[in-house]
Amino acid sequence: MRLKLVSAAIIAASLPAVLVFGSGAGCKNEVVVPPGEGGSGGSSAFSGTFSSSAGPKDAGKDGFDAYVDPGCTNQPPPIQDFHCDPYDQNNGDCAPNDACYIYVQYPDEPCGQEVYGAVCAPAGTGGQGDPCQGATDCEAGTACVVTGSGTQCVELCPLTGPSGCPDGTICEPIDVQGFGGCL
Amino acid sequence: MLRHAAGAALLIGTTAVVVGACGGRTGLDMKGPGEIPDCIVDADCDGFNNKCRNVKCLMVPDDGSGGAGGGGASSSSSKASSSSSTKASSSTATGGTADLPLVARCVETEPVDCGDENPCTLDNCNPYTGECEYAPATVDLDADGFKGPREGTKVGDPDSCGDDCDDTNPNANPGIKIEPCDGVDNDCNTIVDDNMTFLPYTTGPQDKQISEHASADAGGIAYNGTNYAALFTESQPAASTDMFNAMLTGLGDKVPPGQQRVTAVNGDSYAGTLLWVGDRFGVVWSDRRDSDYEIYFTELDAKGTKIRPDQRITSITEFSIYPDLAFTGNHFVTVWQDERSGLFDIYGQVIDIDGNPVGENKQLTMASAVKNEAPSIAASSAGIGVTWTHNDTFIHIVMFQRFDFDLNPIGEPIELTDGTTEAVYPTIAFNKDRYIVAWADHDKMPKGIYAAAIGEDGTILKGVTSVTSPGTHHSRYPVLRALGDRSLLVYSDDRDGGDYELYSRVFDNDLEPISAEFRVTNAPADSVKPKITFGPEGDVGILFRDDRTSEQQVWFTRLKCQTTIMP
Repeated sequence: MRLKLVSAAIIAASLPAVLVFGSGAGCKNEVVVPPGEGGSGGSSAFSGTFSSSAGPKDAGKDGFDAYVDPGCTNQPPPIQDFHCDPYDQNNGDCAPNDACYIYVQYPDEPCGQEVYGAVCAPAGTGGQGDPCQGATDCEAGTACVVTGSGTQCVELCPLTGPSGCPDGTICEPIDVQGFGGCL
Repeated sequence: MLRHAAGAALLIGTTAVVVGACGGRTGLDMKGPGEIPDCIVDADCDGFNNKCRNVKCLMVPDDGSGGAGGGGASSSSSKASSSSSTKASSSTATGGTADLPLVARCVETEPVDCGDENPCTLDNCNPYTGECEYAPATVDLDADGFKGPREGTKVGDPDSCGDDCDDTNPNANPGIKIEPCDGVDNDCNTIVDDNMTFLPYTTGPQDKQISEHASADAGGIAYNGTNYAALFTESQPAASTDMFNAMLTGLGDKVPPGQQRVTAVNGDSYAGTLLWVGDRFGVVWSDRRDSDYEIYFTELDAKGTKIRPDQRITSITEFSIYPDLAFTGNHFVTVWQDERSGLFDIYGQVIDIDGNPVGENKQLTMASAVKNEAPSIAASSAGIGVTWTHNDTFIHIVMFQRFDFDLNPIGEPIELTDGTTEAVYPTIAFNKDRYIVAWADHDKMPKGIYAAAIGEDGTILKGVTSVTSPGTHHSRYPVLRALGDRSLLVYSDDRDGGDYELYSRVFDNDLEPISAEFRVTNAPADSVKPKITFGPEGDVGILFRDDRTSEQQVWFTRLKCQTTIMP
């Protein structure tokens, strides 16, 4: 499992974890994300046996829909939108009492692009393993993620090289490409 | 085989038969106005040509009800004689119908009853001939001379009508007397690879890197009798994170054309798991192509090529994540966690063999303040076992519950741990007559892997038992493989210097160890999150994440089957 960042806009932690950025389960991310360049993303790289539609079609928005390849001709990389460095919280990117939080914004159309990034927001106080409902519940250098064992703050860690994670934990990839969280 | 129908002849007592029906029109002696016949000959009656229904045009007393009308068959059942009388015979009439005029009606006489009360045959009446046909209720799918058990039964049941314990594998049947190392219960004694254990190879490292780009994560591994299929997540440069499949030889080398993208969507996809079911792989995963995470299912053929469109299983505005998958012999069943009700709960879905959902998503748990997360599923011949954690950040309880094949609960959920320790990420296997649930406990001493055994009736056969000994260190990420009289456990452990390495051990059905703990990997950095399957010649293939190259990549290694269980 990969950690999932909390909120629809930010996914984090490893089951891989899912990142939580909003104000809790069921709440959407409150961070304003600049609109992506979007529109021409998606993929038709898959060469399976099922049909590829000529024009954009919904990629199965309803349960029990069979996926129809939207036929996007290009698959540009996710848009990166970093306003600060989450790994260097004290470099002056953010105002005092703010922290740099990672986020992700999912595509909302079949050929849309994902947006990864980091924004400044008021710093929370939750440390490693503390419960959270959104990113700003957690202190600088952490992320609020769905882990499969409680939604919690996890310390950010690099996915390459020594993780620097606390004893007994490992660096799990978060669903914000390039970031890990200690779990 | 064909058999004539028994007791299905026309027997008409209170009615007269229109002799010469089905082709020959027989004049009718109609009496009185208003006596409008349904028919003149059998062919006038709906269903007359279904010889299993015996719809006939008969002269019956006209009670004024108009009979079936419209040419339809009356629902009344009649007894027959060969009389051609147009008036009810007083000697046979009953119920005051003796003096009623007769009118031609379509009447369905007793349908052909083909039931032979033999559970080993599928009884059917051929509508074209009226003859009973009796097909075998069981078949020999793998052509090894032994039939598998009837659906809904298991080998040994009195009405199973088959004794092949694995009718998808010709190397397993009760006629085999030698049990080689192959990960199969060859002789159908419910034990896989009797008296053998699984050890790391001593002939040097067997590890092979599978993924091409970091960061990557293991999803699942299965073996189709020829190759392993390795399912994993990989983040490619300047692209989204997607799910890939690679077919591997028994040694872990990639089979051309190498890894193939299973998902090609604009949002990230994260591998769930996959299963081989005899002629195809079932694959489940979560991805966020449509604004948030949903659960998807598809199938791959034996070569690992995708053969079905992605089937979206969920449709909610919140996360649906962390799916697991089981196969009941007829259907796939997937479980996952989602937060459609506000807090994470466990949901499930039955999926037919061709990837079509059967029924709706079913909610398996009901969270109230505390979430239900990280489900794992196993199927037995009698139903389904699901384990999960009932947890928030401070409370972690490993739960278990049984369900029928339609995901209806059987009994109440069972708390396997007391919530005083951080028991997390349970996994489950069905082993002969019991479910084995294993999990990591980050608080309890030792901070290792614990397990419990639960009978098919929900009885706790063995309570919480420590099955690893990491000392002051940690064991995590357990996975199980059932062996009938024992279980294989593979897990990560950091007892040897700080990094996590893979270990294995075998324990019996009472959770008592019957092998030492063997270190499987020996590389720098962490080796974690193993997935396992039986492979060729008794090998156990292991797919796992490994950081030895300073990047998170997916690797393959294997255990070998050895004939002596070590103390």
